[in-house]
Amino acid sequence: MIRYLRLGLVVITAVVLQTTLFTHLRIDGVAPDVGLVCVLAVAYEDGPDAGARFGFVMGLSIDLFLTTPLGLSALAYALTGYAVGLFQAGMVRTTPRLAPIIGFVGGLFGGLVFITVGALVGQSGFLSLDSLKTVFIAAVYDALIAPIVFPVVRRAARRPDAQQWRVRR
Amino acid sequence: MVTSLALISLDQSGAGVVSSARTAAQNVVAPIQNLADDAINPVTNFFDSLGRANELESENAKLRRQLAAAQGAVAEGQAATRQLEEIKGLLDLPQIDDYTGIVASVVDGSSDNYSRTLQLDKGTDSGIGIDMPVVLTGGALIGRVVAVSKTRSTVLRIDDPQFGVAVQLLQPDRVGPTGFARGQRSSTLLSLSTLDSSETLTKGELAVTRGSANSLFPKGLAVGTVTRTVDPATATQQQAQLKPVVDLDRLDLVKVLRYKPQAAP
Repeated sequence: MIRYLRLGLVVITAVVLQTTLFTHLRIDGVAPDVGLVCVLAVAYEDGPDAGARFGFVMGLSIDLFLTTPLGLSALAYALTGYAVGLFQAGMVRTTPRLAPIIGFVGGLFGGLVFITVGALVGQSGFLSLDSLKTVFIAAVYDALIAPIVFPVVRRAARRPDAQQWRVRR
Repeated sequence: MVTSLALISLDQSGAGVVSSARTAAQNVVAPIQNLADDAINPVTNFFDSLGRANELESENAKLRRQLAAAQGAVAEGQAATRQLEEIKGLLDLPQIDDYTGIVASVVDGSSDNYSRTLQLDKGTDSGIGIDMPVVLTGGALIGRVVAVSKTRSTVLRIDDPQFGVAVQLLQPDRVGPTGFARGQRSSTLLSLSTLDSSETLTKGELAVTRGSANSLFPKGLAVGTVTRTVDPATATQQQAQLKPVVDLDRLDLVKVLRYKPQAAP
């Protein structure tokens, strides 16, 4: 229960940061995808199913504040969370140094899903060179903030039993 | 995945429940956003002003040169003003003061990378509603309200690809052709298509809102000036690029007009 409350707080914080602070902190006119980076951290900590579920909730929450169709971010985040969770499950050991790489690859994957599905549902100009450039810059920005976001969100996503297991080791 | 696709379809169909969900969520989070803005905006404004110091210095020198030139052009300007008044009379253009409005501050920009929006610090509590036009004092169109909570509202800028408006060109001594202006993803200029291929478009001509009976915008709001003409895609229309008359990235105070179309759109 406490874990869900912590994750709920992560969602609210990400929405507020995305809609306030990061509207001002743009690189070449592009903002990072704070919510997506949080999803990557949860998927990396807890696997594909948790990544997909948290991705859906986070994406839907962000969608409520955007002018793009409701459900578009939810779909992109859920698929990205699932994919990163699968990747994590296949790894022998994890290291914090992977955070920027996961931030970049996950940002790229999530951004591409977003613009592709957006174009399919009729969003004008989503499949264009300009959009691809935006996805790339956003992925680089995601990689930059990932080392700050990952430790905080992974701690919030950690299950009590997993914590005990880590302590025992 | 199925749920997401269902939600996208629901939103695309214009279901009222989606709009209600957005408003409810924004009402809940708005107080936290306002607190965050109170903390963040003084800092970002400070750094923004530092970054603009050099720019302001060169702008100052440029303005001094322009002032000298402008003093000589005052007489010419007075003649142009008289001409504009004549055109306004011809078109029966209203003044911006004809509509009551709500003055609001721009507190944030777009929350994502695929839309061009502004967030205002006032919402339904101040009388702002969906689809109301947003202008700069003086009558330049900035956009229209697309989402509103009790204390905040979101404005879709005129250069967003989802934005479109019917316009009328103002040409010397006469009413110019009408057309449709819309935002573009790859540029902050608006694309303009006119319906009449026999009309010639010239750089510098001003496009104002056409304001038909069912339009969301009143007649006569300045939209942009023609910056370049484009070879038409078909022989039945003229195409051009419009530069918005205001810098949409540097807005502070705006006015939301309490305007309702004469007929339902």
